[in-house]
Amino acid sequence: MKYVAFLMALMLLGCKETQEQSVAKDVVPEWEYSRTITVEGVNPIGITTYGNSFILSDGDHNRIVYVDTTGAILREIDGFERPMHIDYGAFTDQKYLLIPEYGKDSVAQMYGKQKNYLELNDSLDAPAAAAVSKDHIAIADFYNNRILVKSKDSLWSFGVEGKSDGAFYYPTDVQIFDDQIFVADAYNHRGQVFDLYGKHLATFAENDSLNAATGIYKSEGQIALTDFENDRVMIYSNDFQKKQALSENVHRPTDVLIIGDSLLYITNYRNGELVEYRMQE
Amino acid sequence: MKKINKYICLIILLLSGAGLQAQNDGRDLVEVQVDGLGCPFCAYGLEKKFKEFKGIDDIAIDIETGDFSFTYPTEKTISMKAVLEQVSKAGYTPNEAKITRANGAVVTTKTVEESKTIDMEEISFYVNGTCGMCKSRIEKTLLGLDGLAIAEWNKEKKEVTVFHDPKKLSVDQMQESLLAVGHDTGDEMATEKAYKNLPPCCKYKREVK
Repeated sequence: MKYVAFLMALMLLGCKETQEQSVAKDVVPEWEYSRTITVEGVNPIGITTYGNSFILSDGDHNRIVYVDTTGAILREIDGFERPMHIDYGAFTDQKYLLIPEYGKDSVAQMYGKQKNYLELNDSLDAPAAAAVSKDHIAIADFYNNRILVKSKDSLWSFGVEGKSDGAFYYPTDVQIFDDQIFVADAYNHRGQVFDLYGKHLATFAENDSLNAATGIYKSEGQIALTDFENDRVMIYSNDFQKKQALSENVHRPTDVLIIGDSLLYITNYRNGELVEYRMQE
Repeated sequence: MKKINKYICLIILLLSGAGLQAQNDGRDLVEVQVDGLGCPFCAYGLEKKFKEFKGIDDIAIDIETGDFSFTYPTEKTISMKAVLEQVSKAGYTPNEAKITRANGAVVTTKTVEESKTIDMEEISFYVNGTCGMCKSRIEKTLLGLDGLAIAEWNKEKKEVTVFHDPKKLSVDQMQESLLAVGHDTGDEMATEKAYKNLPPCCKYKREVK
Protein backbone atom coordinates (compact mmCIF):
# COMPACT_ATOMS: atom_id res chain seq x y z
CA MET A 1 0.00 0.00 0.00
CA LYS A 2 2.81 2.35 0.91
CA TYR A 3 4.43 1.52 -2.39
CA VAL A 4 1.28 2.49 -4.34
CA ALA A 5 0.97 5.78 -2.42
CA PHE A 6 4.60 6.60 -3.15
CA LEU A 7 4.06 5.97 -6.84
CA MET A 8 0.95 8.21 -6.90
CA ALA A 9 2.84 10.98 -5.11
CA LEU A 10 5.62 10.72 -7.68
CA MET A 11 3.07 10.94 -10.53
CA LEU A 12 1.42 14.02 -8.99
CA LEU A 13 4.76 15.72 -8.54
CA GLY A 14 5.64 14.88 -12.09
CA CYS A 15 2.41 16.38 -13.36
CA LYS A 16 2.94 19.57 -11.32
CA GLU A 17 6.45 19.94 -12.62
CA THR A 18 5.22 19.52 -16.18
CA GLN A 19 2.53 22.19 -15.64
CA GLU A 20 5.09 24.63 -14.18
CA GLN A 21 7.43 24.02 -17.08
CA SER A 22 4.56 24.66 -19.47
CA VAL A 23 3.62 27.92 -17.75
CA ALA A 24 7.22 29.07 -17.79
CA LYS A 25 7.43 28.30 -21.47
CA ASP A 26 4.27 30.36 -22.23
CA VAL A 27 5.39 33.50 -20.39
CA VAL A 28 6.45 36.05 -22.97
CA PRO A 29 8.79 38.68 -21.57
CA GLU A 30 7.37 42.16 -21.68
CA TRP A 31 8.70 45.68 -21.54
CA GLU A 32 8.67 47.28 -18.14
CA TYR A 33 9.19 50.92 -17.22
CA SER A 34 12.75 51.60 -16.09
CA ARG A 35 13.34 55.36 -15.75
CA THR A 36 12.66 58.79 -17.18
CA ILE A 37 15.54 60.90 -18.45
CA THR A 38 14.85 64.62 -18.44
CA VAL A 39 16.39 66.60 -21.27
CA GLU A 40 16.10 70.21 -20.19
CA GLY A 41 14.73 72.65 -22.72
CA VAL A 42 14.28 70.12 -25.51
CA ASN A 43 11.01 69.18 -27.20
CA PRO A 44 12.12 66.02 -28.98
CA ILE A 45 10.52 64.88 -32.21
CA GLY A 46 12.96 62.22 -33.42
CA ILE A 47 15.62 60.02 -31.88
CA THR A 48 18.54 57.97 -33.10
CA THR A 49 21.72 56.60 -31.54
CA TYR A 50 25.28 57.77 -31.95
CA GLY A 51 27.76 55.52 -30.16
CA ASN A 52 26.75 55.54 -26.54
CA SER A 53 24.73 58.72 -26.85
CA PHE A 54 21.44 59.79 -28.40
CA ILE A 55 20.76 62.35 -31.07
CA LEU A 56 17.45 64.18 -30.75
CA SER A 57 15.76 66.56 -33.14
CA ASP A 58 14.32 69.51 -31.25
CA GLY A 59 11.65 70.73 -33.63
CA ASP A 60 10.43 73.62 -31.51
CA HIS A 61 13.92 75.05 -31.23
CA ASN A 62 15.16 74.26 -34.74
CA ARG A 63 18.18 72.28 -33.61
CA ILE A 64 19.77 68.87 -33.17
CA VAL A 65 21.11 67.90 -29.76
CA TYR A 66 23.42 65.10 -28.71
CA VAL A 67 22.64 63.86 -25.19
CA ASP A 68 24.17 61.22 -22.97
CA THR A 69 22.25 58.57 -21.06
CA THR A 70 21.69 60.97 -18.15
CA GLY A 71 20.08 63.57 -20.39
CA ALA A 72 23.02 65.98 -20.32
CA ILE A 73 23.41 67.87 -23.60
CA LEU A 74 26.81 67.11 -25.09
CA ARG A 75 26.51 69.13 -28.26
CA GLU A 76 23.93 71.10 -30.16
CA ILE A 77 23.69 72.20 -33.76
CA ASP A 78 21.35 75.06 -34.69
CA GLY A 79 20.07 76.26 -38.00
CA PHE A 80 17.56 73.64 -39.03
CA GLU A 81 13.99 74.50 -40.03
CA ARG A 82 11.78 72.22 -37.97
CA PRO A 83 13.94 69.08 -37.91
CA MET A 84 11.83 65.94 -37.64
CA HIS A 85 12.47 62.17 -37.52
CA ILE A 86 16.20 61.74 -37.98
CA ASP A 87 18.39 58.72 -38.67
CA TYR A 88 22.07 57.97 -38.48
CA GLY A 89 23.70 55.25 -40.53
CA ALA A 90 25.74 54.24 -43.52
CA PHE A 91 24.55 54.82 -47.06
CA THR A 92 26.86 53.62 -49.82
CA ASP A 93 29.70 53.15 -47.33
CA GLN A 94 29.49 56.65 -45.89
CA LYS A 95 27.92 57.34 -42.51
CA TYR A 96 25.44 60.22 -42.40
CA LEU A 97 23.08 61.85 -40.02
CA LEU A 98 19.96 62.57 -42.03
CA ILE A 99 17.81 65.46 -40.85
CA PRO A 100 14.55 66.13 -42.67
CA GLU A 101 13.71 69.81 -42.43
CA TYR A 102 9.95 70.07 -42.46
CA GLY A 103 9.94 73.83 -42.89
CA LYS A 104 12.52 73.85 -45.65
CA ASP A 105 11.25 71.00 -47.83
CA SER A 106 14.66 69.37 -47.85
CA VAL A 107 16.76 66.74 -46.10
CA ALA A 108 20.04 67.82 -44.56
CA GLN A 109 22.85 65.31 -44.34
CA MET A 110 25.67 65.72 -41.90
CA TYR A 111 28.99 64.02 -42.22
CA GLY A 112 31.09 65.00 -39.24
CA LYS A 113 30.59 68.75 -38.99
CA GLN A 114 29.91 69.14 -42.69
CA LYS A 115 26.35 69.88 -43.62
CA ASN A 116 24.83 69.75 -47.05
CA TYR A 117 21.52 68.79 -48.55
CA LEU A 118 20.41 65.58 -50.16
CA GLU A 119 20.13 66.01 -53.89
CA LEU A 120 16.72 64.90 -55.07
CA ASN A 121 15.33 65.50 -58.52
CA ASP A 122 11.94 65.89 -56.97
CA SER A 123 10.22 68.36 -54.68
CA LEU A 124 9.21 67.57 -51.14
CA ASP A 125 6.40 69.17 -49.19
CA ALA A 126 7.26 68.92 -45.49
CA PRO A 127 9.54 65.89 -45.13
CA ALA A 128 8.68 64.38 -41.76
CA ALA A 129 11.20 61.54 -41.59
CA ALA A 130 14.29 60.15 -43.24
CA ALA A 131 15.69 56.65 -42.82
CA VAL A 132 18.94 55.21 -44.05
CA SER A 133 20.11 51.69 -44.84
CA LYS A 134 23.16 50.39 -46.63
CA ASP A 135 21.81 50.95 -50.12
CA HIS A 136 18.73 53.11 -49.68
CA ILE A 137 17.35 56.25 -48.14
CA ALA A 138 13.61 56.57 -47.52
CA ILE A 139 11.79 59.85 -46.89
CA ALA A 140 8.26 60.38 -45.56
CA ASP A 141 6.88 63.22 -47.69
CA PHE A 142 4.13 64.44 -45.35
CA TYR A 143 1.92 66.72 -47.44
CA ASN A 144 2.44 64.75 -50.64
CA ASN A 145 1.31 61.56 -48.88
CA ARG A 146 4.06 59.43 -50.31
CA ILE A 147 7.38 57.75 -49.55
CA LEU A 148 10.44 58.61 -51.61
CA VAL A 149 13.19 56.04 -51.95
CA LYS A 150 16.65 56.90 -53.14
CA SER A 151 19.30 54.42 -54.15
CA LYS A 152 22.78 55.28 -55.32
CA ASP A 153 21.61 55.74 -58.90
CA SER A 154 17.89 56.33 -58.87
CA LEU A 155 14.90 57.78 -57.10
CA TRP A 156 11.33 56.56 -56.96
CA SER A 157 8.23 57.07 -54.84
CA PHE A 158 5.01 55.37 -53.90
CA GLY A 159 1.76 56.22 -52.16
CA VAL A 160 -1.21 58.51 -52.64
CA GLU A 161 -3.58 60.23 -50.25
CA GLY A 162 -6.25 57.86 -49.03
CA LYS A 163 -7.31 55.23 -46.59
CA SER A 164 -6.91 52.01 -48.56
CA ASP A 165 -3.91 49.72 -48.23
CA GLY A 166 -0.91 51.41 -49.77
CA ALA A 167 -2.37 54.89 -49.41
CA PHE A 168 -1.43 57.39 -46.72
CA TYR A 169 -2.98 60.18 -44.74
CA TYR A 170 0.07 62.14 -43.67
CA PRO A 171 3.00 59.72 -43.19
CA THR A 172 5.19 60.96 -40.35
CA ASP A 173 7.87 58.32 -39.87
CA VAL A 174 9.64 55.70 -41.90
CA GLN A 175 12.25 53.00 -41.33
CA ILE A 176 14.07 50.55 -43.56
CA PHE A 177 14.64 47.09 -42.12
CA ASP A 178 15.75 44.05 -44.11
CA ASP A 179 14.71 45.61 -47.42
CA GLN A 180 11.28 46.39 -46.08
CA ILE A 181 9.93 49.87 -45.46
CA PHE A 182 7.91 50.49 -42.31
CA VAL A 183 5.70 53.58 -42.31
CA ALA A 184 3.85 55.38 -39.51
CA ASP A 185 0.69 56.40 -41.36
CA ALA A 186 -0.19 59.08 -38.82
CA TYR A 187 -3.74 60.12 -39.50
CA ASN A 188 -4.89 56.77 -40.79
CA HIS A 189 -3.81 55.76 -37.28
CA ARG A 190 -1.91 52.66 -38.39
CA GLY A 191 1.36 51.21 -39.58
CA GLN A 192 2.10 49.86 -43.04
CA VAL A 193 4.87 47.73 -44.52
CA PHE A 194 6.15 47.76 -48.10
CA ASP A 195 8.94 46.30 -50.10
CA LEU A 196 11.54 48.74 -51.37
CA TYR A 197 9.57 49.42 -54.53
CA GLY A 198 6.28 50.15 -52.82
CA LYS A 199 4.56 46.80 -53.03
CA HIS A 200 2.18 46.72 -50.08
CA LEU A 201 2.95 43.88 -47.69
CA ALA A 202 0.95 44.56 -44.56
CA THR A 203 -1.21 46.99 -42.64
CA PHE A 204 -1.45 46.78 -38.88
CA ALA A 205 -2.77 48.55 -35.78
CA GLU A 206 -5.90 49.60 -37.65
CA ASN A 207 -8.21 48.22 -35.00
CA ASP A 208 -6.32 49.38 -31.96
CA SER A 209 -7.91 52.83 -31.68
CA LEU A 210 -4.71 54.78 -32.17
CA ASN A 211 -4.93 58.54 -32.52
CA ALA A 212 -2.03 59.79 -34.62
CA ALA A 213 0.64 57.14 -35.21
CA THR A 214 3.56 59.52 -35.25
CA GLY A 215 6.62 57.30 -34.86
CA ILE A 216 7.65 53.77 -35.79
CA TYR A 217 10.59 51.47 -35.07
CA LYS A 218 11.24 47.94 -36.31
CA SER A 219 13.73 45.84 -34.40
CA GLU A 220 14.73 42.23 -34.96
CA GLY A 221 11.90 40.88 -32.83
CA GLN A 222 9.13 43.47 -32.84
CA ILE A 223 7.59 46.67 -34.11
CA ALA A 224 6.84 49.73 -31.97
CA LEU A 225 4.33 52.40 -32.98
CA THR A 226 3.67 55.60 -31.04
CA ASP A 227 0.10 56.63 -30.29
CA PHE A 228 0.52 60.37 -29.76
CA GLU A 229 -2.85 61.52 -28.49
CA ASN A 230 -3.44 58.46 -26.32
CA ASP A 231 -0.07 58.75 -24.57
CA ARG A 232 1.15 55.25 -25.30
CA VAL A 233 3.44 53.15 -27.47
CA MET A 234 2.06 49.97 -29.01
CA ILE A 235 4.22 46.88 -29.43
CA TYR A 236 3.53 44.36 -32.19
CA SER A 237 5.06 41.02 -32.99
CA ASN A 238 6.69 40.39 -36.33
CA ASP A 239 3.41 38.91 -37.51
CA PHE A 240 1.64 42.14 -36.51
CA GLN A 241 -0.14 40.80 -33.44
CA LYS A 242 -0.56 43.32 -30.65
CA LYS A 243 1.70 42.36 -27.75
CA GLN A 244 1.74 45.26 -25.33
CA ALA A 245 0.75 48.87 -24.81
CA LEU A 246 3.31 50.98 -22.96
CA SER A 247 1.73 53.93 -21.18
CA GLU A 248 3.55 54.37 -17.88
CA ASN A 249 5.14 57.85 -17.93
CA VAL A 250 4.45 58.25 -21.64
CA HIS A 251 3.18 61.73 -22.56
CA ARG A 252 2.70 62.83 -26.15
CA PRO A 253 5.20 60.37 -27.66
CA THR A 254 6.63 61.35 -31.02
CA ASP A 255 9.25 58.65 -31.63
CA VAL A 256 10.52 55.34 -30.32
CA LEU A 257 13.81 53.48 -30.51
CA ILE A 258 14.66 49.87 -29.63
CA ILE A 259 18.21 48.78 -28.87
CA GLY A 260 18.94 45.07 -29.10
CA ASP A 261 15.40 44.12 -28.14
CA SER A 262 16.38 44.80 -24.54
CA LEU A 263 16.10 48.59 -24.21
CA LEU A 264 13.41 50.85 -25.56
CA TYR A 265 13.36 54.65 -25.53
CA ILE A 266 10.38 56.91 -26.09
CA THR A 267 10.57 60.65 -26.77
CA ASN A 268 8.01 62.60 -24.74
CA TYR A 269 7.53 65.68 -26.87
CA ARG A 270 5.71 67.88 -24.41
CA ASN A 271 7.76 67.21 -21.30
CA GLY A 272 11.22 67.05 -22.86
CA GLU A 273 11.86 63.52 -21.69
CA LEU A 274 13.26 60.20 -22.78
CA VAL A 275 11.44 57.30 -21.21
CA GLU A 276 13.41 54.09 -20.86
CA TYR A 277 11.79 50.67 -20.79
CA ARG A 278 13.67 47.42 -20.25
CA MET A 279 12.76 43.97 -21.42
CA GLN A 280 12.00 41.69 -18.49
CA GLU A 281 14.64 39.09 -17.73
CA MET B 1 -24.79 97.81 -50.71
CA LYS B 2 -25.61 94.86 -48.64
CA LYS B 3 -25.89 94.37 -44.91
CA ILE B 4 -23.47 92.06 -43.25
CA ASN B 5 -25.32 89.28 -41.59
CA LYS B 6 -23.02 86.26 -41.58
CA TYR B 7 -21.87 83.84 -38.97
CA ILE B 8 -18.48 85.37 -39.13
CA CYS B 9 -18.60 89.08 -39.55
CA LEU B 10 -15.90 91.62 -39.41
CA ILE B 11 -16.00 94.22 -36.71
CA ILE B 12 -13.75 97.15 -36.37
CA LEU B 13 -12.92 98.99 -33.25
CA LEU B 14 -10.89 101.88 -34.48
CA LEU B 15 -9.09 103.24 -31.51
CA SER B 16 -8.26 106.80 -32.39
CA GLY B 17 -6.10 109.25 -30.51
CA ALA B 18 -2.52 109.53 -29.40
CA GLY B 19 -0.66 106.78 -27.62
CA LEU B 20 -2.49 103.97 -29.28
CA GLN B 21 0.29 102.68 -31.48
CA ALA B 22 0.53 98.88 -31.66
CA GLN B 23 3.31 97.23 -29.74
CA ASN B 24 4.90 95.92 -32.95
CA ASP B 25 6.46 98.86 -34.71
CA GLY B 26 5.25 98.82 -38.29
CA ARG B 27 3.81 95.35 -37.96
CA ASP B 28 0.29 94.02 -37.51
CA LEU B 29 -0.23 91.38 -34.83
CA VAL B 30 -2.47 88.50 -35.93
CA GLU B 31 -3.92 86.09 -33.36
CA VAL B 32 -6.06 83.09 -34.32
CA GLN B 33 -7.51 80.31 -32.25
CA VAL B 34 -7.30 77.17 -34.40
CA ASP B 35 -9.16 73.89 -34.02
CA GLY B 36 -7.50 70.62 -34.95
CA LEU B 37 -3.88 71.26 -34.04
CA GLY B 38 -3.22 67.87 -32.49
CA CYS B 39 0.52 67.43 -32.76
CA PRO B 40 3.72 69.28 -33.66
CA PHE B 41 3.40 68.05 -37.23
CA CYS B 42 0.11 69.93 -37.53
CA ALA B 43 1.51 73.01 -35.83
CA TYR B 44 4.57 73.14 -38.05
CA GLY B 45 2.32 72.49 -41.05
CA LEU B 46 0.19 75.51 -40.20
CA GLU B 47 3.33 77.58 -39.81
CA LYS B 48 4.59 76.32 -43.16
CA LYS B 49 1.41 77.33 -44.97
CA PHE B 50 1.53 80.80 -43.45
CA LYS B 51 5.11 81.25 -44.59
CA GLU B 52 3.58 81.71 -48.04
CA PHE B 53 2.80 85.19 -46.69
CA LYS B 54 6.12 86.84 -47.38
CA GLY B 55 7.20 88.99 -44.48
CA ILE B 56 5.60 86.90 -41.73
CA ASP B 57 7.55 86.79 -38.46
CA ASP B 58 7.30 86.15 -34.72
CA ILE B 59 5.29 82.97 -35.25
CA ALA B 60 4.07 81.31 -32.05
CA ILE B 61 1.91 78.20 -31.79
CA ASP B 62 0.60 76.42 -28.72
CA ILE B 63 -0.65 72.99 -29.77
CA GLU B 64 -2.43 72.43 -26.46
CA THR B 65 -4.62 75.54 -26.76
CA GLY B 66 -4.56 76.02 -30.52
CA ASP B 67 -3.40 79.62 -30.09
CA PHE B 68 -1.54 80.79 -33.18
CA SER B 69 -0.05 84.24 -33.63
CA PHE B 70 2.36 86.10 -35.88
CA THR B 71 3.27 89.58 -37.01
CA TYR B 72 3.07 90.94 -40.53
CA PRO B 73 4.24 94.16 -42.21
CA THR B 74 1.43 96.67 -41.81
CA GLU B 75 1.98 98.13 -45.28
CA LYS B 76 0.87 94.80 -46.72
CA THR B 77 -2.47 95.10 -44.90
CA ILE B 78 -3.26 91.47 -44.27
CA SER B 79 -7.01 90.93 -44.30
CA MET B 80 -9.04 88.85 -41.90
CA LYS B 81 -10.44 86.96 -44.87
CA ALA B 82 -6.95 86.00 -46.02
CA VAL B 83 -6.00 84.81 -42.54
CA LEU B 84 -9.08 82.64 -42.13
CA GLU B 85 -8.75 81.23 -45.64
CA GLN B 86 -5.13 80.29 -45.06
CA VAL B 87 -5.97 78.43 -41.86
CA SER B 88 -8.62 76.48 -43.76
CA LYS B 89 -6.21 75.86 -46.65
CA ALA B 90 -3.77 74.31 -44.19
CA GLY B 91 -6.51 71.86 -43.19
CA TYR B 92 -7.64 73.36 -39.91
CA THR B 93 -10.65 75.23 -38.60
CA PRO B 94 -10.24 78.85 -37.55
CA ASN B 95 -12.20 79.99 -34.52
CA GLU B 96 -11.96 83.52 -33.24
CA ALA B 97 -9.30 85.73 -34.70
CA LYS B 98 -7.99 89.21 -34.07
CA ILE B 99 -5.76 91.54 -36.05
CA THR B 100 -4.18 94.43 -34.18
CA ARG B 101 -2.94 96.93 -36.72
CA ALA B 102 0.24 98.87 -36.11
CA ASN B 103 -1.86 102.03 -35.70
CA GLY B 104 -3.86 100.43 -32.91
CA ALA B 105 -6.93 99.48 -34.96
CA VAL B 106 -8.36 96.09 -34.05
CA VAL B 107 -10.26 93.75 -36.36
CA THR B 108 -11.95 90.72 -34.83
CA THR B 109 -14.32 87.90 -35.78
CA LYS B 110 -17.46 87.53 -33.73
CA THR B 111 -20.62 85.45 -33.73
CA VAL B 112 -23.89 86.57 -35.30
CA GLU B 113 -25.34 87.41 -31.92
CA GLU B 114 -22.51 89.77 -31.16
CA SER B 115 -22.49 91.20 -34.66
CA LYS B 116 -26.11 92.31 -34.40
CA THR B 117 -24.98 95.23 -32.32
CA ILE B 118 -22.89 96.49 -35.21
CA ASP B 119 -24.42 97.84 -38.37
CA MET B 120 -21.64 97.36 -40.91
CA GLU B 121 -22.07 97.51 -44.65
CA GLU B 122 -20.09 96.08 -47.52
CA ILE B 123 -19.55 98.16 -50.64
CA SER B 124 -17.28 98.03 -53.68
CA PHE B 125 -16.28 100.94 -55.87
CA TYR B 126 -13.83 101.77 -58.64
CA VAL B 127 -10.34 102.96 -57.79
CA ASN B 128 -7.68 103.28 -60.45
CA GLY B 129 -4.19 101.94 -59.85
CA THR B 130 -1.67 99.61 -61.44
CA CYS B 131 0.63 97.76 -59.09
CA GLY B 132 1.30 96.25 -55.69
CA MET B 133 2.38 99.60 -54.31
CA CYS B 134 -0.91 101.08 -55.46
CA LYS B 135 -2.74 98.28 -53.65
CA SER B 136 -0.81 98.93 -50.49
CA ARG B 137 -1.42 102.69 -50.68
CA ILE B 138 -5.15 102.36 -51.42
CA GLU B 139 -5.78 99.87 -48.61
CA LYS B 140 -3.58 101.67 -46.12
CA THR B 141 -5.25 105.00 -46.85
CA LEU B 142 -8.70 103.53 -46.26
CA LEU B 143 -7.71 101.57 -43.18
CA GLY B 144 -6.46 104.77 -41.65
CA LEU B 145 -10.03 106.14 -41.63
CA ASP B 146 -12.27 105.88 -38.61
CA GLY B 147 -15.23 103.52 -39.21
CA LEU B 148 -13.73 101.02 -41.64
CA ALA B 149 -13.12 97.35 -40.91
CA ILE B 150 -11.44 96.00 -43.97
CA ALA B 151 -10.36 97.16 -47.39
CA GLU B 152 -9.20 94.97 -50.26
CA TRP B 153 -8.28 96.36 -53.66
CA ASN B 154 -8.49 94.10 -56.69
CA LYS B 155 -5.87 95.02 -59.25
CA GLU B 156 -7.60 93.33 -62.19
CA LYS B 157 -11.04 94.80 -61.52
CA LYS B 158 -9.59 98.09 -60.25
CA GLU B 159 -12.15 97.86 -57.50
CA VAL B 160 -11.91 98.17 -53.76
CA THR B 161 -14.25 96.30 -51.40
CA VAL B 162 -14.73 97.71 -47.93
CA PHE B 163 -16.65 96.92 -44.77
CA HIS B 164 -17.57 100.19 -43.15
CA ASP B 165 -19.87 101.77 -40.61
CA PRO B 166 -21.93 104.21 -42.73
CA LYS B 167 -22.81 106.23 -39.63
CA LYS B 168 -19.15 107.03 -39.17
CA LEU B 169 -17.75 106.95 -42.68
CA SER B 170 -19.38 107.69 -46.04
CA VAL B 171 -18.30 106.51 -49.49
CA ASP B 172 -17.62 110.14 -50.45
CA GLN B 173 -15.20 110.48 -47.54
CA MET B 174 -13.37 107.33 -48.60
CA GLN B 175 -13.15 108.53 -52.21
CA GLU B 176 -11.86 111.94 -51.13
CA SER B 177 -9.06 110.28 -49.19
CA LEU B 178 -8.06 108.24 -52.21
CA LEU B 179 -8.15 111.23 -54.54
CA ALA B 180 -5.85 113.06 -52.14
CA VAL B 181 -3.19 110.38 -52.50
CA GLY B 182 -3.46 110.36 -56.29
CA HIS B 183 -5.96 107.61 -57.16
CA ASP B 184 -8.92 108.33 -59.42
CA THR B 185 -12.27 107.00 -58.23
CA GLY B 186 -15.19 106.62 -60.63
CA ASP B 187 -16.12 109.98 -62.05
CA GLU B 188 -13.77 111.86 -59.77
CA MET B 189 -10.16 112.40 -60.72
CA ALA B 190 -7.24 113.19 -58.47
CA THR B 191 -5.51 116.51 -58.98
CA GLU B 192 -2.56 116.56 -61.36
CA LYS B 193 -0.32 117.38 -58.43
CA ALA B 194 -1.49 114.32 -56.48
CA TYR B 195 -1.14 112.10 -59.54
CA LYS B 196 2.37 113.38 -60.25
CA ASN B 197 3.36 112.65 -56.67
CA LEU B 198 2.85 108.95 -57.30
CA PRO B 199 6.06 106.93 -57.76
CA PRO B 200 6.87 106.03 -61.39
CA CYS B 201 5.65 102.45 -61.08
CA CYS B 202 2.27 103.69 -59.81
CA LYS B 203 1.54 105.97 -62.80
CA TYR B 204 -1.61 104.17 -63.96
CA LYS B 205 -3.38 104.95 -67.22
CA ARG B 206 -6.05 107.50 -66.38
CA GLU B 207 -9.62 106.93 -67.48
CA VAL B 208 -12.96 108.26 -66.25
CA LYS B 209 -15.49 105.63 -65.30
